[in-house]
Amino acid sequence: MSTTQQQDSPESLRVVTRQFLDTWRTEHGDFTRPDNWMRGFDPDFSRGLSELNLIGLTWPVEYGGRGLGNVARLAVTEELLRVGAPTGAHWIGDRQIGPSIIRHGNPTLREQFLPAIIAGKFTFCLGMSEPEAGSDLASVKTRAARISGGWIVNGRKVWTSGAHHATHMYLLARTADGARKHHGLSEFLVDMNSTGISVSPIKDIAGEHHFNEVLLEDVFVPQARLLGTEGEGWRQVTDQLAFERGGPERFMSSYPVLVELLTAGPEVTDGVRHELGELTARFSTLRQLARRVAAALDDGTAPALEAATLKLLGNTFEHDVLGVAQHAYAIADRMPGPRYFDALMASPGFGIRGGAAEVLLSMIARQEVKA
Amino acid sequence: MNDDLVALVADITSSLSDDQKGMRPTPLWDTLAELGLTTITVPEQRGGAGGDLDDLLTVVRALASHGIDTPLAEVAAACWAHPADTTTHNMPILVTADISEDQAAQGFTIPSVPWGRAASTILVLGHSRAWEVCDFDPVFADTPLGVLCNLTVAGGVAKPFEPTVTRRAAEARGALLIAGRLTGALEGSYRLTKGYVAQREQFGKPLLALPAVAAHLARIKISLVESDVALAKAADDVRSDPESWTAAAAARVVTAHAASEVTRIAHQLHGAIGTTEEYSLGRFSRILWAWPQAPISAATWADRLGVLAGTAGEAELWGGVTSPRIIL
Repeated sequence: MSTTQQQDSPESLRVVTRQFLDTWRTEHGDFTRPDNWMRGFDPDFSRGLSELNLIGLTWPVEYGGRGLGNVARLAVTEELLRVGAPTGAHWIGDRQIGPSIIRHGNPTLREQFLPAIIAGKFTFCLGMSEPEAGSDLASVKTRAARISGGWIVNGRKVWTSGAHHATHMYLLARTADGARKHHGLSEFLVDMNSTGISVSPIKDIAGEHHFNEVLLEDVFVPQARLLGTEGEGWRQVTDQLAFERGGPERFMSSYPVLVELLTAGPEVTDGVRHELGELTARFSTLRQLARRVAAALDDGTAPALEAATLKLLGNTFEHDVLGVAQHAYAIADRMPGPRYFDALMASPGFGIRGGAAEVLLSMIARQEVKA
Repeated sequence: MNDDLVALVADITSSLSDDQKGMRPTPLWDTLAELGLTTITVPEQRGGAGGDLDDLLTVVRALASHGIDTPLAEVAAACWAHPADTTTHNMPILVTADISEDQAAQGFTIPSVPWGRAASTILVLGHSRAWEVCDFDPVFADTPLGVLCNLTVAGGVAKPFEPTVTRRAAEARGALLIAGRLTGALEGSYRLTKGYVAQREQFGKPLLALPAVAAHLARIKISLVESDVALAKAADDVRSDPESWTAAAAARVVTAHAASEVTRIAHQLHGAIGTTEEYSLGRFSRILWAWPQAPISAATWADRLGVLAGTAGEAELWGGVTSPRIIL
């Protein structure tokens, strides 16, 4: 095995990631929080990972990536989630925007965006959901009208996590009225500092600000910022979803609570021994399933069924960790720590974001009807 | 999976009449024995058929997917663990339990022995001692599920023997094969249920056209995928280290949950027909109801994993117990 191959192995990527996390904790203090892959926004942290070439692992070398597989990337994302690291500044770009640009973007877009995402200079938010298009994404009404040299966009996006920090938005907008609502959609990469964009916060149940409403009023988007083919937005965006749904963040948002519980000592864990065993069994299986999804992506297939299954099982697991923790602390007559309450406040989002549970279930059901 | 073995099992089972597919050893057993399928993993010099654990797992899973439960795994385990050629015994069964010298002298009970009613010899594998028992009485043998029964053994009947395998390895292997049997039965139940709701019409269209029915079927599919993944990891782990038990334990826990969920839904979707003796859903349900309880039960495995999780620390849980395998 050559030195490069050794450095690129999942095991050595794990080691490098852990070393970085240990050093970061020593120098900057504790950062661990549940749901921090989405909530924790720290550009310095993301740039630190970038310096170790841990962002864009699966992207072509010519754009600053390492040309590795999704199985290798999984080693890094798992280690980050394990300690509840603040990855919000690069997570979306690394997980789905980069891969989407690689699949559908022309060489100019790739050149322009991929190295900048890797360097932590570009941070993305997802302009998908709208007031009338939640689970039913194809109902987006935001419209991009053609003008000379580009497009004029008008519309309103909601539940846009991190829009107040993002340099760019991935935008799904209607460019034509097709025979079906899935037709006539297109994807764009939009500068957040464009004239006509205003971002206002939507505070969550804990009073925290990560969601936003984004208003787009006569926003000019240059022709060159169309991603892929005009009108093919639906087909392109569904490709993204396997990346978005099938990763370990779908079962590890509450993992820091489990870690805290395991370190609480026998007076807390003895009362939930059986439940901990069941969580262990399910967690082990979910990690293996994530590996299966990643391997399928590496083989070039879109493992829609496995990704949906992972998300459904994973979100239930995230909730059940909280249930077991609550039970354990209650019977031990102890108060759970702040991580528990953080995760509890974040928990309603687990089964909604990235594809609501009911929608995923009916997607699997539809496949059953077809097959 | 070995496709040839899967095809062979399909071939054997297709020629059976329905009343030959029951749970008790039947002429089917003779067919399996003639084909050498009852002694897979047993070395050839001890009368076995050779082959590896993956072959045995394939056959056990495939049989269960056709609704057929046999003592294949337990008999092969007994022949695998005994230093002599025990393949000529009628039906040796391996169980794990700690029996002391005193108990052996005074008599003892072995609870929940799989196939206790049909067994000819029981091999009891403990941590430090192993016993061979050829004379015993089944008690409470008439449970509706039939597979498990308690055995009482009179004083002085048990004879010590030197096993060729460790108790730990026997337990891991046993857990893997039970998880395989359950996964096979889950597949069978899924296939049958899907066929039924696609074909049975009510309100002028197939049941599957009702969204609630389709969602139930999707739940079965999800349980099946989860079990299949857990089983694959268990097989990988036990293959690389026969004494590695955590993935096999996880597969036992996951398949037991799946069994409970899937039997409930499959019967609900079948309506009254599924409750009859003549309809074949019951064959899968019996397997799915019986084996989660078989020793070492899924609940016991969960407890063991829980003790490990509570004592080993997160680093071990992360880097060892739940660490995914690279090879799928």
